[in-house]
Amino acid sequence: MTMSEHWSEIEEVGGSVWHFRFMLWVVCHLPLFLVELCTAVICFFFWLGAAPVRARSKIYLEHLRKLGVRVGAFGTYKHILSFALSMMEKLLGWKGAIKLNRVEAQEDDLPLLVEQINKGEGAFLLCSHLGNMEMLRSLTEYGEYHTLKCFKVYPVVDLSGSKKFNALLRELKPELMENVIDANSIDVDSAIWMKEKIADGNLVVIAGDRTSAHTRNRVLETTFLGETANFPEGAFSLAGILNAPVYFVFAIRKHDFNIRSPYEMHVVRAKTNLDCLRKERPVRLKMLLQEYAELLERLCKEHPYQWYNFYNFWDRLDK
Amino acid sequence: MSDLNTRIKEVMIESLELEDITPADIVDSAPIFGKNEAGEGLGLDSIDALELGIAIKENFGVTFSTVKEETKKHFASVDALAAYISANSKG
Repeated sequence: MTMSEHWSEIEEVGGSVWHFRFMLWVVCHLPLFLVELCTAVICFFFWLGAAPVRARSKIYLEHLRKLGVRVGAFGTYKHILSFALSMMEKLLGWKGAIKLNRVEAQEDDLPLLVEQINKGEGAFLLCSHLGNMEMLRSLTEYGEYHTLKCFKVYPVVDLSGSKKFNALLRELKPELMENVIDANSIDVDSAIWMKEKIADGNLVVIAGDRTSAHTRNRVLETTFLGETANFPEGAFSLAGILNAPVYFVFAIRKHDFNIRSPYEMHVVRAKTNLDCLRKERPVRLKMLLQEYAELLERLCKEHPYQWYNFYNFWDRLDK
Repeated sequence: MSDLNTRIKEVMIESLELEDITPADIVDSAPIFGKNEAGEGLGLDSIDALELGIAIKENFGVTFSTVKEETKKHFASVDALAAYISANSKG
């Protein structure tokens, strides 16, 4: 077995559409504690049988362990279980069965973002595969910091992965998929469209912690969890091209293994100013990446099992 | 050199902040991206292309087809870009 596979070469885990339909039935018809129980049992057998997934999870967890994070003997099982729960949670969310108001704000830049949205100004958000990004939509709905203005969230997604799961999500809520921009077909028109959406007070969001399936050589390097890793150049370049305020956003389950858990919403305004001469931009993008990676690292240490990148993140083509 | 070609070159120089280059330095028929056998060309990359495309749209009001191969063709050289803009702009 090789550890040098890029994530796009790894087949979608969970196999057939039938599996996902079964998952959907389970989350819709069983009480949530039973959903969790079923997931835990199924995951246990999956964990026993899926040595490659275990090995890839272990690479990540070992990086954490070296930095003093406690990872138990069943760490890889917990990691896989947490991921399975997040898929259940996504289905529930898209089915409208999750109240989006169970979000706990942190003492960070969330009020700043809300204020900006209320002024009708949009923003560019860098999210990650840590936690559940769907929770962003909750910004319109909850508590003290809720926005007064309506806005839309336009996710830029690499649709070449998890095709079957995405097909099911599309079936559940076709209108939400309409807002999705395929990361593989960003061109002049879609870039201008994104600029306009941000100018109209909306949010464009992209994950900064997964290199592109089609342009694997376009990467930026920085240290992540103690070792140099590749990050997608495109996500950070897009921040430069759109030239909007940049925020880092993470929504993480407070209790790792409970899908009824409230969410911690972390919103941090990037300090790096991208409004600069083009020749200065590579340096600024690197600074932006460092800010992002440091924050991601801190939150991964707090919630090690909620980072859902099951490929060897530190494997670099040029190494 | 036509006016349109000069305007395009000005937009290129401004939007891509090309230093020490005047419109006269850019060969009309030379590739915008990469270089040809004669070593001519600006050697821009795909991110530059995106930004140049945005600037062209903002300045000349022409949109680009989302079909990638076709867009590439229009961006082949200043001459090709000028031909496309004059064929598609309203005024």
